[in-house]
Amino acid sequence: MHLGKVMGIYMEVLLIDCNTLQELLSLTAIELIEKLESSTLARPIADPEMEREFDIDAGAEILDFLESGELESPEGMLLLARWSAIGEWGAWEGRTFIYIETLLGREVAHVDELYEPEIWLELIENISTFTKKEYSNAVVMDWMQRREKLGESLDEKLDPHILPTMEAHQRNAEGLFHVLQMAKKEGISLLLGREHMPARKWMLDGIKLKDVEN
Amino acid sequence: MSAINMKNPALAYLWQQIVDMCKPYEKIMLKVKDEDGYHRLRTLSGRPFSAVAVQKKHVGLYMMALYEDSTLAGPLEGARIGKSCMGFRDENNPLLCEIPAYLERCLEYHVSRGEMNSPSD
Repeated sequence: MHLGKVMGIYMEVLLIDCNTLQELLSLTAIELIEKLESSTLARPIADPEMEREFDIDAGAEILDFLESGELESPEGMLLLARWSAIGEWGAWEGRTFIYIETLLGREVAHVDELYEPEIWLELIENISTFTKKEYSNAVVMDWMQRREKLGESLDEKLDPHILPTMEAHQRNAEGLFHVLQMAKKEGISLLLGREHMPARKWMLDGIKLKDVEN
Repeated sequence: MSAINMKNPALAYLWQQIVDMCKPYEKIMLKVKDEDGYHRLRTLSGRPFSAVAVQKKHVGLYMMALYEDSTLAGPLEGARIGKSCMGFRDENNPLLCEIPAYLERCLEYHVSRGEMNSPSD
């Protein structure tokens, strides 16, 4: 279980292989079921630096959904997109302010801005101004400064959570760095959403899933 | 226009130049941001069209259309600094005069995808 799962809402970013998703969208529900049941439905090669849902789980979710749901719905599209993901990244939403503001160089006024596609276009470009290590260090520095401003201790003897939290920020920042680098590649789309967000509001390259044409 | 909130106030005039080129589209789009150093337009269906932002060393012109179709850059390829972004540092950059035609190509892209009506309709 992700630490974020017990700390609050989780932001999720998936890198989608466009060709795979296009192929899935061209299938009928019956064809899709046949391919899943015979284990012949191709999935893109997973990015070795990222995690993603296991094939068996992603496939089972689609099959369960198709028992009563429509493939052309946003919910169906979200499941197909998850199948088409080469990897996914997630972090507790509260923490993503640090990761995103560090890259934007300005404050994000409202949590909804974190999910605006224009912001992500900027993030994808701005990541080029950092190396992975520089970005990770900048995030940790920002986090430490925020703690100091709040009068919180940075002494690990006084707060045993300091070190694991710092490591989590480093890990998250390095993961996001990779995601943003990969999002520059042709044929890769960025799917953005959060826990409990209805499927229709998830964004695929800036298009809400309810508006994506099958 | 104040330049207090900009990352680099020295780029304020250049930013305004580029925003002025986007202004005609405000009649047919949604202006979702118009702050010092940051201007953003979306199609009426809510898709991102343009964002013009002052960065530390350049003014970035971000277009969702370019992110999806790299051929739209055309003569502006020389100003391209990313998958969706053109970057400008100099008010005298001759490529600036290519921006209006570039915006038109991006508009046509969105129209061709049915994300908005043609302005002539």
